[in-house]
Amino acid sequence: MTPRRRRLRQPATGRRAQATLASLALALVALTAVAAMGVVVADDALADADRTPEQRRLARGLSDRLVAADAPLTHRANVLSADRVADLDASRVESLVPAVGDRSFAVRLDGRTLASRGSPADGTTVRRLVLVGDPRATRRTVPLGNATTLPRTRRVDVALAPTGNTSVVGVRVNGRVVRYDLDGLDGETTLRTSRQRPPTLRFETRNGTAGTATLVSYPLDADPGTLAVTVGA
Amino acid sequence: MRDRPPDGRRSTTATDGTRGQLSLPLVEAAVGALLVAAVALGFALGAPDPGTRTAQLDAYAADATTILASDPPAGTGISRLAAASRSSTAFDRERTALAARLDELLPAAVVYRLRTPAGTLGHRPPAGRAVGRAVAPTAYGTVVLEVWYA
Repeated sequence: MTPRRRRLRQPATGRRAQATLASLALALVALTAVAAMGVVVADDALADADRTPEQRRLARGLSDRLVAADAPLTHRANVLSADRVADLDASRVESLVPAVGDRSFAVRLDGRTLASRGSPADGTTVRRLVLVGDPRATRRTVPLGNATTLPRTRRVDVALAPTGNTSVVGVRVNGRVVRYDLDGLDGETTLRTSRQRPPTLRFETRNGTAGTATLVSYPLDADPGTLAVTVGA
Repeated sequence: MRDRPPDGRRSTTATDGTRGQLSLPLVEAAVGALLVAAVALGFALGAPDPGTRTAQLDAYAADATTILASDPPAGTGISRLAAASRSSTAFDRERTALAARLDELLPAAVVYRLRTPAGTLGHRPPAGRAVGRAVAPTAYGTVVLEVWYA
């Protein structure tokens, strides 16, 4: 028996198993297409990701400082003073949040630019809801015999004008005595009231209730607005 | 003993020598495509939370709650939110003013839901989308405001 020798079986025609160019091209095209689709899916998934977290943090921090209750521009939290807002400029903004450094930024109120440096076109914007306004003097003249309820205010200017023999000996706000003089109150005085509830003024008089009192209160007159803070690179 | 074909050949290969071959580049391409698809699937399914959108919505909710907390009520009470949490009759009295005020404060494309211990105002928040949230304490309980983009 002849020893069987292992031999490469060459086909008779000499054609070996080869990668043809056509199949190689097809394979590359298919792989590229799948890779491109994968990149598109990944980009879609990461489209909302924050690629500049530092800008967002600075914008949020700056807006927090601008609308805080103890900020130089506000009456109370989220209530900006229309008068003081006009004084805002870039150096004040930088002193509020030194971490801004030399980045570009812009502070806008309802579209109007209050302070800006550079052009933060590609920056991150944080929008805050605010009320913008100032206390407005409101005057009323009331008879001394009536109890009067005023709109919420921090301050009431009272000018007493009793006529005849009537004298005003006391002033009460929401039941609490704030001015008292048995010899008779006269002239003008300023009361500090709480904003928590509308103040009801009552006058205690002797010898009748003839006369009037002129009351000036300062209720806040504020309208809603949007403060947009943009910090760029 | 292996069967031999009748005409004396050593194996069962076809005479003209074409063997059934799997084109190797196609196999490689298929494996590569499978790997890329696996990575893409990881992106599609495990996408990270869109933090920027929620941050802005949270700011809206916090600001609206702060402003509402110091608004005077339509009925009696110290603040609008406290009056709306006190009782269901007080809530009904404040309801219209609350809705009007929230529509005025929030930007046009933002929808809200306000939950107080005495009642709820607004629409149901959608599942699976970014929702901003703010919580305000009142004497009668906690008020929760949720906002999202319409």
